[in-house]
Amino acid sequence: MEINWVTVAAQIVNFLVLIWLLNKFLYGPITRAMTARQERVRERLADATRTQQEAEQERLKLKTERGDIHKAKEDLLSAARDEADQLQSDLEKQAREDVELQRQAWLNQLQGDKEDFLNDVRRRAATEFFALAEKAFAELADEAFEKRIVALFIVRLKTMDANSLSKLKDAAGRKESSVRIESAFELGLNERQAINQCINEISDGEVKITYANTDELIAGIRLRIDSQSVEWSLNSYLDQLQERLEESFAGAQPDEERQAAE
Amino acid sequence: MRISPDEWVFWTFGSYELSATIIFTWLIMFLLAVMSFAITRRLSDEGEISPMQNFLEVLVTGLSDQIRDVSRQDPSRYLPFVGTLFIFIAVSNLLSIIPGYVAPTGSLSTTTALALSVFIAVPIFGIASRGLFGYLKQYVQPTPFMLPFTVISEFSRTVALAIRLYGNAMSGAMIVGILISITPFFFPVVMQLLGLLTGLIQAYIFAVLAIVYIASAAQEENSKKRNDEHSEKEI
Repeated sequence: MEINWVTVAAQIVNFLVLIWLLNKFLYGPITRAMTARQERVRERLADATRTQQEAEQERLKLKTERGDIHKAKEDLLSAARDEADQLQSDLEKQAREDVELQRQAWLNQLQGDKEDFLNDVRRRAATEFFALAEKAFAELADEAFEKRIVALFIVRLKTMDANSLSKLKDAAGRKESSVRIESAFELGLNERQAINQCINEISDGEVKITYANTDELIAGIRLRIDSQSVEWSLNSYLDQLQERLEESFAGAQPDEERQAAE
Repeated sequence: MRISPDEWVFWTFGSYELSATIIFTWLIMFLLAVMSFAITRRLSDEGEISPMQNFLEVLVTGLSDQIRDVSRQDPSRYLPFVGTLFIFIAVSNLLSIIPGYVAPTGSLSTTTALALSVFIAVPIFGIASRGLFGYLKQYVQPTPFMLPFTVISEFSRTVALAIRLYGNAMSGAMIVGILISITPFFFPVVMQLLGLLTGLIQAYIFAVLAIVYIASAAQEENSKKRNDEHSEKEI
């Protein structure tokens, strides 16, 4: 155990040289390499952080845009729905109006057809009835039938209304006035005398009476004073028949209208 | 049997003898320099790195972390000195597994040289860090009466460094030599393995004590006391 100071000095030098060698070949390169790698890792981390921030911003931007698109879509859908509802309402209204117009046209058509039918029925009924009546009355027309008509006419004269009676009396007071008796058949002398006598009785005076035949009346007699007239004929019965037929069709009309509405 | 490499003289020039201490020291220096150069010549700073580069990075990073933990200062300025101390002593001790090799650290001259290096490095780092006045002021603190004791402490710890490393390295070789003469088969192998562990521990102790001494001289006043307590506790 002894110290060789020359060796000590040499070892100190050796140690210093070794420090230099290791510093040059070991610590320096290794430290630089690690520093460079750390710097690169730091840069990559910074890049990653920046990329992540950009991605986050992009995500927020896309989220906002998606929200806007969703809102726009909702608005469009709402507007389209409103427009569709409005269109549906308009179309329904239009359809109702069209149907109503068609129904009204159909009802008008039906009313026209009904009136045509009634007119036709009335005309046919009247024609047929008149034909039958004329035939029947022609076959029945004898003096007794005509006397019966004259008797009924005289009863009608005696029961005439006050207005006609007043005018008849006025006509009796005036010389120029005359009473016109129109009949569907030729009145005999006896019938004319009976009628004259009746008129004179109810008019309390002499009235100038003229007789004439007419085709307007069917088996009847008519008295005319100015614009007033009193008559008995089958015309009134035919008119009543026509009214009743019209009433019958009028009673059937609601059923037809209901069927048309359906 | 040679216990000290100083006894193994290769060449004599006058009064100077070129002993195995110098030869094996050069050998270690050559190995370390060549291997470091060979590995660090093709360093990769991205992607995959070679296993040897990985080993050197672990070694350098471990040394730096150890220096930082002990000194609480930036390790870069202490790394070459303290790291070289550790690597040289560790390699010197670990190579004793090779037959015919005698560790240079088994020479008191080598350990004295290393201890003197620390002895010189302490004021150099202290003055570089705190200035001449600031460094010298610590010898008279807390009171000038402590100056003799502080100076004695400086010398004694240097001697202790040298003797501790020399004793451990030399005793390992001596124990092996004695055991070989007594029980030549099993125990020398066990003691050789124990010597490897002891050599590594001694390298660590020497390096850590060196950084403790250097850091104690170099650090600022306000953190000196705290770090002294911390360092002593770790040791």
